[in-house]
Amino acid sequence: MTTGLVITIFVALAFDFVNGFHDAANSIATVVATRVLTPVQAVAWAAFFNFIAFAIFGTAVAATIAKDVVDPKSLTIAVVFAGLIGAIAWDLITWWLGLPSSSSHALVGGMAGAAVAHGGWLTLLPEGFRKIGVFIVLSPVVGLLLGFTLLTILLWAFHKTTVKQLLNKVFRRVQLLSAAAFSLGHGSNDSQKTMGVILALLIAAGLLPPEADVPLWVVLSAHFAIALGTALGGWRIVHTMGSRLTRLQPMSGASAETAAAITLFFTAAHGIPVSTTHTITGAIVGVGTAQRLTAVRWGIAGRVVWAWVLTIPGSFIIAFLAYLPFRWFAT
Amino acid sequence: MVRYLRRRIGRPTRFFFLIAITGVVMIWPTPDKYRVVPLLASGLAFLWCILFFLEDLGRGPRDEIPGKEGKAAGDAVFAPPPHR
Repeated sequence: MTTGLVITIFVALAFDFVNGFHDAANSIATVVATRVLTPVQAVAWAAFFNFIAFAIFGTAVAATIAKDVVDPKSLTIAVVFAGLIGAIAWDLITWWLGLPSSSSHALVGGMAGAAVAHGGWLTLLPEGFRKIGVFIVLSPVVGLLLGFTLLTILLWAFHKTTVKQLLNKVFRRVQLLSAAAFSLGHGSNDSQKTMGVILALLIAAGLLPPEADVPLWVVLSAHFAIALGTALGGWRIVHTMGSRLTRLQPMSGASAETAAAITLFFTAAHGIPVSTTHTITGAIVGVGTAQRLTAVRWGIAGRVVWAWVLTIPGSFIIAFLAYLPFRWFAT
Repeated sequence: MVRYLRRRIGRPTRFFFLIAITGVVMIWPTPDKYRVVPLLASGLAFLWCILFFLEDLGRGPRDEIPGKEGKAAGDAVFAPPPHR
């Protein structure tokens, strides 16, 4: 392995770490907002399930990232490095601003920007972008509908229950399970993107054949990096996700997480890289809507949507600029 | 016509109609393998839209008073008289 390859693999794992750090709030916001767990307990819980997700899901999402977004022939070490820089920079900017934008789409935008800087627009694979673009819209919509439907069913099923404290106690326990399920989905979907990047690097460096599967050491290191990022957590975004969008009770928190987890399990199984941020935000809006439409603070939801819209272009531009020095040195 | 529809059709109905249309629009660009997702999503959204619409039909026209969503027009007529 060359020095450049090793450094880029470390940068990829750093992206995974930043992803976990940036997205930690997704996993813990609802359980912290409903006071089921303290923030420290919540991050430990989420980090553990982020890590063990490797034992449950395959690597279909990794394959999509490695082969279906950008022409694999254009994925040089410099391109991947610049793409990761674009994604990490965007993640840090939105983390600082407290906006839950998508780390996944930052990665896609970053890789696209660097690839275009390297080899022009023809390096982009339309079918891969089509799949990703469609699920940018569909994942929050599905999360919203499932969250709304689940909570409505639960409210109907328990509408005669007079002992609210008992109901809250039961759903606090249920939220532990739903938070675990969501963290499994998050760990699987998001760490697979880094695995895909590292796989692409190893193929580009000639260390693996093009049809190779993800090596075990890559799987374990990616899951470890995201779990570590989650464990070190991002409190800044928790406030937006958990309480500013809508007020959550244990039942609605459990419904939101379960809805998001179902969506993530489906997409992980089918190799679709989606945004866990979009999905859980859509689910939280859905449960808020089940209470009443005015329960959702649409102004804040609007700011969140703007962060989504700007993510791919933003990370694209940063990665494009980050690649230019490599181009100048090569000429 | 628009004003009449706004008085008869509640916001939840309009919201889910919008979600359903989004799902329908997304059917076209979605790869064949995944078309079942927007199909099911728009189907579920239409179901909720219809359920909320049936609820709207059961109520009378509502006044579009900002902040007073859901208040039927008839409430103003049958409000209790002020205390003297």
